[in-house]
This record gives sequence, structure tokens and C-alpha cells, in this order.
Amino acid sequence: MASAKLTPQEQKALEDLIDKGIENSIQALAKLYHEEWSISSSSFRGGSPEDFFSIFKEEDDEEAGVFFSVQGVPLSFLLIFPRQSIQSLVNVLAKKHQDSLGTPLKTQEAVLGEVGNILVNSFLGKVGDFFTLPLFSSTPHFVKGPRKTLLDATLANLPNPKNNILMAHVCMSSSHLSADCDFLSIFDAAFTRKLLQNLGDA
Amino acid sequence: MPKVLVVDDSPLMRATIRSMLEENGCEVVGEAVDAKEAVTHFKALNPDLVTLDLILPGDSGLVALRNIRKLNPKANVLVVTATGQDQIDKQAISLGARGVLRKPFDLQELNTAVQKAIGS
Repeated sequence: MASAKLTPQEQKALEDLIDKGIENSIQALAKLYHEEWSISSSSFRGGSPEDFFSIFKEEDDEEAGVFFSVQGVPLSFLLIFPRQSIQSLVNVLAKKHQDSLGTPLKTQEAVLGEVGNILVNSFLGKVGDFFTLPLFSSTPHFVKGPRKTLLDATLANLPNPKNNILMAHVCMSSSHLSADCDFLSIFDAAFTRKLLQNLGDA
Repeated sequence: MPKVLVVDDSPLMRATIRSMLEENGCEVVGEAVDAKEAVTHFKALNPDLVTLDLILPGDSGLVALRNIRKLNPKANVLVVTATGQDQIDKQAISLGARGVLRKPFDLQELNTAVQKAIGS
């Protein structure tokens, strides 16, 4: 029976894929917000949900997260934004439409939901065509609280089996923006192996 | 002036698309946040064009597309989606979408896609 954990080679292949997906989003973000963006991902960390709860145990800062499931496959995403990044993104991206977005909380939800949507679908765009069925992400689900709360909310709401997490640190910047987030891919190892195999065969 | 119904669950995208359409000389006659509302508003407003997100709460935009085209086989629907997958694009076109515009897009891309969708 195949291991529930990815091998180092498999993890590296997935990291490369996430990197490419995130790079994809540069053009997308630049188009929507009319600025030159740079974006990079680094500091990949992998483990089980229990490993991550242990890492997050002492982290009490209030942050914001958006999570997405993917229809029909055991793959989900959680993006975690620290307080300064939330404000930076809102200042740049919501400026023009502030009046129609409502309260500060609703504005945060709208902005982070859209940034998350672009990042997640940039990744799915890289892999989706290698599956027989299209990969539809859910709409973003917005949560606030310390990291362990965000992860708990994500895992509790997702229907798919999940035994591995890969976390990448993503930095975004433009002339008016400096923001970062942690991009967590939550997946079943067997599915991920199939994904990497499909990509390898392509 | 083309009358447009904007369907997207994101208030930020709806506001962005609205301002771009108005800059391009369109009139946004309504907004919808999910597939059911899209069909209801389509029936009531009879727009010249629908811009339709595919990722919606509840039923997907493909369900809305199918139902709108059932109501009016000549309906002009421009799918606007962040999903960059060829097979999703093909599904949308097979259901009668006049085009697929990858989200996000700039003003010129939207203008071109709208002209093509209404003209075809």
C-alpha cells in the first residue's frame, strides 16, 4: 500500500508545480489592478494536519484566511493573510470601489476572496487539463482568527479526505503594495501521486 | 447602448466589471450573485448581454448558462472565469456561450469580448 506521506521527490515536484501556478498569477493580478506586480513563493513546509496544529499552537495573532475546496477531488486550499498584508491589499485593490463594498469586514472578505480566487485558479489552471474532469474550485470562504482557528475551520468544512499539507510563503509587491500570505495546499497523497503521474506522462 | 446583466458572486468583481462596461458605453441593468438569481434577472430584464462567472455559490455558472439559453436560444452570454482550463472553456462554448474571457482582464480585452459576443 502506498504511503500516506509524499516522498521528498514527490514533495519537490508538487512545490515546483505550486511555484509555476503562483507565477501564473502575476500577469493576472497586473491586469486587474493596473500595476506591475512581482510575486514569488518560497519556504515550503510539509506535514500532516497534526503537525501544522502543533506549529500554529503558539501563534495567537489575529489573521484572515480564505479557503477553497475543489469539486470531486481531495484537494483544498487555505490562504492566510497577516494583518498588515490585509490592510495593504485592501488599500490598493478596494480603493476605487470602496463605496459599493460595504463595511471594512466585507471589504476585506471581498478583496482577499478575489486574490485567493486568482492564486488558486492559477494553480488549478496549470493542472486541470491533465484530468478527465474539469477542476472547479468552490467560492471563497472567509474566516478570521489565529492560525489554528483558520486551519480548524478549513478542515472542518471540507468533505474530502485530507492527510497532507504543503505550505508555501507567497510575497506580492507592486509600486504601492507589499503583502504576503501563506498558501496551504491540503490534499490526499494518493490523489497527488496521480496528479504528478499525469503531469509526468504529459 | 447594450444592456448588460452582470453575474458574479464577488462584489469586487461586480463593481470592477460594472465600471469597465460603463466606460465602454454599456448600461448595466442588473447584477446577480448566483445561478438562480441570474436566471430570474434574465427573465425580468431581457438584457442584450450577460457576463457570467462560472464559480458561483450553489449551482455553477454552467447551470445558469444552460437555463438562460433554454429560455432564449439566442441569448448572448459571455463567460467570465478565473478557471484557466481548456475543457471548461469547451463545455461553456458547447452550452452556447458566445465567448470565454479569462479573469482578470483589462478594459480592451473586455471591450473586444463584448463586441464579439453581441455581434455574433
